[in-house]
Amino acid sequence: MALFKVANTKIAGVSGAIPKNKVSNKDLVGLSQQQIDLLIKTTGIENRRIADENICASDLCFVAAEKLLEELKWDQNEIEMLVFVTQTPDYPMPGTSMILQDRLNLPKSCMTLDINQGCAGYVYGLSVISNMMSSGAIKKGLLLVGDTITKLIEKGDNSIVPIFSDAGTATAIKYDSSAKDMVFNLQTDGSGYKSIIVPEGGARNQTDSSTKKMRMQGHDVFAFALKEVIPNIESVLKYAGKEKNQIDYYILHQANKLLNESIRRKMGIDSSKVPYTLGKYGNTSCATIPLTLVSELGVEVKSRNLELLFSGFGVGLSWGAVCVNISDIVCPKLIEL
Amino acid sequence: MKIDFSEFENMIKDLFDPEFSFDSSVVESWSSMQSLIVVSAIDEHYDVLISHQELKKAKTIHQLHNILTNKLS
Repeated sequence: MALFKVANTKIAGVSGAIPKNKVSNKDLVGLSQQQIDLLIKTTGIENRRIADENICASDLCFVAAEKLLEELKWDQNEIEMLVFVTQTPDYPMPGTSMILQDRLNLPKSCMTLDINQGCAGYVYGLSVISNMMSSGAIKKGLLLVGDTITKLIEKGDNSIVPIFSDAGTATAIKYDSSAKDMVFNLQTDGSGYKSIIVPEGGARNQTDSSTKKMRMQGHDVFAFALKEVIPNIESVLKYAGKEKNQIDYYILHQANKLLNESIRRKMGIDSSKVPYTLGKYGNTSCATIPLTLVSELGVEVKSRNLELLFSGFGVGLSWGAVCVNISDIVCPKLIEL
Repeated sequence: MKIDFSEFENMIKDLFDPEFSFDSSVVESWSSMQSLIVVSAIDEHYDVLISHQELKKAKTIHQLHNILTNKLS
């Protein structure tokens, strides 16, 4: 079981960026008013942010990282690791993490890594960067997590269009021998890989990029999350030696309100402990967890010591949770690009 | 475990606002969204996961009730 603890690393700051372009699900074409009302009520998604054609996930992560480094007063030359989690890279090759290393003026001594992960991507990315920094060889690192997933969605596909949105985030990680352990539980079920897939455009089905569109078996993904997320969270809590009520906030991947509320109620967690950004920003793929942290807890995390649980689940199928302590972190206001 | 049919039917009816027009006796008339609402509610109330395939097999609330009862037995 990929259930493990990571010592000596701490989140120093989190920032986020969203596209300026705001669209409302109230204006969806091809649905009746009744269908729109039910959709908004069920998904909890009223507004979404859509990146312009010339804005990529890397651009959103770049501005979020620049702002975060500025507020942290970190010298770029001190950054020795950059991890970029996305499913919408700038190019099939090279990896976008390398491009971001250059754009952020990070030194050549900085290692970079791209991770192809979706809704569980923040938890997976955090596990990779914190593990690699845990020995103390690397003192400062950046975890950039974002997607412009709307670029992969067919216009008019009302099974997907009303759900997804774009965002980019940056998380600064530092080595700290006094940091509390981060406790992870990561899981995978590749037999469900077709549940959310862009079937064309990769090496297996090489086609024109115009046909690279996402397909989602909504029912299968919904059933997977209902079945797997709660046991995953309960296992990580048990391994961390924590009771449910010792967690200040559960930041769940912002999938849809019906699913997230079902998970919350079944776990018996008070609604005040489960923040949402679905209404404002929709499902921003791998970015939902840090985006929700910045948007809903941005003020509180600057001054309070908080025990948080992040839970991501989706494409792969993959899912994971982490218990993490946050105190005295830098959290700039959300940026619009 | 036996589940009273009228209790089950009322639970299903309560999921939807009265102004939404759908025939609650016929499962196959449900939209995709309504199906997810029902799957979620059954999971929450009875701790049983109804798959999309199972839901598609049920044409009426009675048949859905039977599927649930069989899964619980």
